[in-house]
Amino acid sequence: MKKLTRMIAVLLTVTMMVLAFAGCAKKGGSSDSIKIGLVFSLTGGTAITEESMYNSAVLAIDEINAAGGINGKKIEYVVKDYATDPDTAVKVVKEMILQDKVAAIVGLYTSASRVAVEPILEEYEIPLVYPTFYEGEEPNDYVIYTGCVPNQQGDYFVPYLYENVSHNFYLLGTDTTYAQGINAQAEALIKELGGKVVGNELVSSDVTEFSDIIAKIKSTCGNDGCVIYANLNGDSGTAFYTQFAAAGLSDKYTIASFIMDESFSTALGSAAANTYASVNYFNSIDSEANKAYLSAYGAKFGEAKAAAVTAVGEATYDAVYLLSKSLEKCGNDITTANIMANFAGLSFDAPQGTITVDGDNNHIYCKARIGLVQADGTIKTVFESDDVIKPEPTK
Amino acid sequence: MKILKAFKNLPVNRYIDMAILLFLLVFPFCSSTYWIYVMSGIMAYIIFALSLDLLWGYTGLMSMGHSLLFGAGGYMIGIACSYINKADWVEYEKLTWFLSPLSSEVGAFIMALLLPALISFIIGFFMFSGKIQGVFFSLITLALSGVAELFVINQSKYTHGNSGITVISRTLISDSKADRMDDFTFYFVILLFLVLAYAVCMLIVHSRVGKVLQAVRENESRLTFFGYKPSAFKMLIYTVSGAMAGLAGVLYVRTQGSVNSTAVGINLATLVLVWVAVGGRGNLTGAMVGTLVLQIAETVLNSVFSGISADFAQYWKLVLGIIILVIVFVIPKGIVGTVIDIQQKARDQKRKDAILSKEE
Repeated sequence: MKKLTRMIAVLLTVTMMVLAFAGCAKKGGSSDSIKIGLVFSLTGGTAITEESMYNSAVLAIDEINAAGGINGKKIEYVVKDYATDPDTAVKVVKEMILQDKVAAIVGLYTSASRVAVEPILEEYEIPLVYPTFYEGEEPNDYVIYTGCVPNQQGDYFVPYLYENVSHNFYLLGTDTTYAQGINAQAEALIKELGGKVVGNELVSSDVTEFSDIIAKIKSTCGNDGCVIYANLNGDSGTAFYTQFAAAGLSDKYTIASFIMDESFSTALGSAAANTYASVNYFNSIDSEANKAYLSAYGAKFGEAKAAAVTAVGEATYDAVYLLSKSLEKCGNDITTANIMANFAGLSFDAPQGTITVDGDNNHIYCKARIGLVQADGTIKTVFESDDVIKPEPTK
Repeated sequence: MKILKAFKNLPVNRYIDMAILLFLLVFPFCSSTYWIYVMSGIMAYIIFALSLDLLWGYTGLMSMGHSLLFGAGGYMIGIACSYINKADWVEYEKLTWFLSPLSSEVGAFIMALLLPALISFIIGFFMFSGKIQGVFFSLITLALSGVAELFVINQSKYTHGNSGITVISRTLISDSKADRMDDFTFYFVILLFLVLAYAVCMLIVHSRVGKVLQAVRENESRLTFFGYKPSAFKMLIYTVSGAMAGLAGVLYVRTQGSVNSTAVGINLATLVLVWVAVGGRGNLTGAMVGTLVLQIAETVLNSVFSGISADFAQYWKLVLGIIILVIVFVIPKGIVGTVIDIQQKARDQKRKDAILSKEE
């Protein structure tokens, strides 16, 4: 019996060692292909949102490979799941860099995961293409941002609402730097336009009970119309929309939010109808490029999935194409310095229209769009800026 | 001869301890940088699991919010690093009075150990002097961990909210990039801390205090009857455990190069419970084995599954979950607990046989 226990101990050690060695065996990309890494939450809290991102990345890679690849080289890719956890993101990004030896990485959704991997990108000097609209930051030297930043959403949103909905604004947001920034920006714009801020409230990110705030909105806005400028995160946002509609306020006042997109509006159903959204891409955009993108997406992943493609999905599609163009410019000299340098001024005819990378800050020039949520959950574009807007990520 | 005999009579888990030490010593010489990094993180987690085993395994206090202390340690380093290196989101000029030690690198390291100890002392003081026991202790600690997560997110002035803080990785005290060690050296720094932490645990467990703690676990009212004051002992071990969890937090954050709200959250608090439960409670070895096995399994499964096919990748967590469930169902005492049981039975049988043969 004692022998057995000792055997177990030895066995345990041996298996652990074997497992450890298993990690060493892999080899990097070959000479007739370029290896890139994709990192998305395939599991975890944001997996539903990131599904369209992951699918779009795969779609873009397949399209590029079918068209002959990059300078005759095929794109090879590895996928990693970061499970909406920044620590896992760090781990898998390190794995892709050190074990899989990828030339560049596309992916990530949450800001926490982006912030967490930035030091690793700096240390190993590997570029990341980050395809999410977000709060803006001091641009990192190794990150290309293909989502829009607040100035590309808000600068037209507030004036549009002022013209078309009401001069009164009730600002509401989750107590984060993101919502604080957006609401401060809105407040300044409203003052400039001569509108009135009737309320300004920040709530903690766990709040899902809005009866007191709804009562406050009722009493302060009265019978005048009012824009409820609500930038609430995740569950908090869902709860607010539902309770707002249940209180019967949807006819009197109008919600407008940065956070609204197709996945959110479909999930909310009728509670989201007739509210406003603002982002650079809506699924319903009526252009050849967008139709081609969505039909290819539908053919590959199903029509129902194509209807759930959101701005982040489209931004990921753009991200892969922009990266491939940058790699193409590198020729046979694929180094991080070259990849990053080639991004500057790069243009792509994306489903949302032509986008261009701003060499000064690694973000993209894109158009601002405002959408009105329809009863069936689709978002109709009601406004589109005439020209692309310069990104100002630190504003 | 005597030493050999003593060695032979050691409980089986001490052999496993030695095997683990040997494994950890040899590991970096035959592994890639990536795996050295992964194992550094795992060793930090092992220290964390050991700190919980002192509390749960030996004293019977099932803390469901131990990550609160882990994260408190990590965040001290994070705040200090962002202040000293003037991160671009830092808008404040000076740290508030109780965070002022964080303006120096050494101060931050000391704070990272002292603050978790202080937090656990205060929590312990109110709970144990209020005679809060059993499941109520667990629930309160669970709630505290949830509260801490929100607190950290909402105090974005210092913590950068949801986004978290980047820190200089692979240094022990310094916050300058120039002092960065390579993965190999840093691995041994953490290993050294792990050995120290293990030694401290062994000392506590085998001291008289350790015996009293186990008595608290077995029958607290009888201990009171003997004239001991269980609450004092519980407070002591909770404080020590807190400081150790803080140390683990520091080392983990230094391995990762960032700290964020998940470090104090319920998720991590549950994970560490699972590691200790799977490995086996109350023998220190279990905490180490559980963490090692599950963390390696997690890393390998994630990598293997996404290597097979991307559609397959999302099932790695399911498989890991099933493995954990099976272990907890089939061997509720955990891996090491069961191994010890088997050895104990064998030894008892031997003794019985010896007595019987003498009688004949």
